[in-house]
Amino acid sequence: MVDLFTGCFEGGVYVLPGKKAGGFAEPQKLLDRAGRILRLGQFWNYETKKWDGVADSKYAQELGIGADAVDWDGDGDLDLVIGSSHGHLFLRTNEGTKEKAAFATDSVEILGGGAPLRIGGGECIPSVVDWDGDGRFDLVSGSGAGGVWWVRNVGRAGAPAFEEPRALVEPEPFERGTLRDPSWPGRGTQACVTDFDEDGDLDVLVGDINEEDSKSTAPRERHGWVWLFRHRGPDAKGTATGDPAGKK
Amino acid sequence: MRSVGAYLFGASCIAFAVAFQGKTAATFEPPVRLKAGDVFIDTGADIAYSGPSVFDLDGDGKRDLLVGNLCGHIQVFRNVGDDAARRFEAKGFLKADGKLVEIPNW
Repeated sequence: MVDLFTGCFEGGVYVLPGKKAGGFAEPQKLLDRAGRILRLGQFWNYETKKWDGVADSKYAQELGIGADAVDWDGDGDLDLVIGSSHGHLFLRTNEGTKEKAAFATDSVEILGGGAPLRIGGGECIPSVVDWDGDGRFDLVSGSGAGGVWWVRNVGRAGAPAFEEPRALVEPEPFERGTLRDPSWPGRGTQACVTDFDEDGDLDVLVGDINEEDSKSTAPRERHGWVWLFRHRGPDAKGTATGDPAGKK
Repeated sequence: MRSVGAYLFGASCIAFAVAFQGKTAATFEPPVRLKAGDVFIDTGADIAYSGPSVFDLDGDGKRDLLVGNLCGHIQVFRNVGDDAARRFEAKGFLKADGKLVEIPNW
């Protein structure tokens, strides 16, 4: 069975367990091994209508907004990679088992090139995928400023190590059309790397947000499209930055 | 559930080479927006921030498209084409145990 897994802007991580008969059970908040809601730092408290959780977090100013699961340390269970609103990446280790998860009570910041990894533009929503086909999982994320970023894993099994982020899809650097005739994803991007057309290489789906200028007095037009970047290379390996039809 | 009326917006045949550090390493076709039927898939009514994912939701062997949004809902687009030429049909929001899935956002 496949479970669905999601982060959110409230800061928690949720799982929708797959059911044997099909479909999913209702979303469940993931907890750490102390029974606390698994959050990175601050979160929006619906009851007090305030940001909360700042005092008891090492990364108090970080709001975890996205997560993916991977066996980070090679011990056979799934750990969590969490992305933050500021663009940083964190690890929450599973200290339990594959069958019964027990997530660490603290997050560990993930480094790249010797410094804390950061997706420029913030709003890091990570996905785990082996982009370059070298047998090591990499990290891919959209950004608040748009584009899609690849964080290459150059470590070894059980001990990943990362390079600095590189663009798979460049952010929208200039006007490429209008809200009604766009030619490139906007900002607030979220990436899904998959062999969409099942031709043997990896394509990239990109979700986004596009809005009218906030100075408009009329109700703001807003769209969130899904873009397909279909891979057309000889293989799915390597870094990719884009310039459609030489428009740059 | 496998009704007609959805398709993937056709991709341009013009490819663009992409390069990094002096060598061409991969190639993407120009991006296209996905459609369901004649309509672009759009989460704008739910404050956008589309978060796509592909998954065989109905167990028919073909991967469907799920798209999350800022309101915490997940839109379902069933693949009524085939794996090489996907066509999507909007199927409303994902439900779990018969209830609308709503991940708390804000």
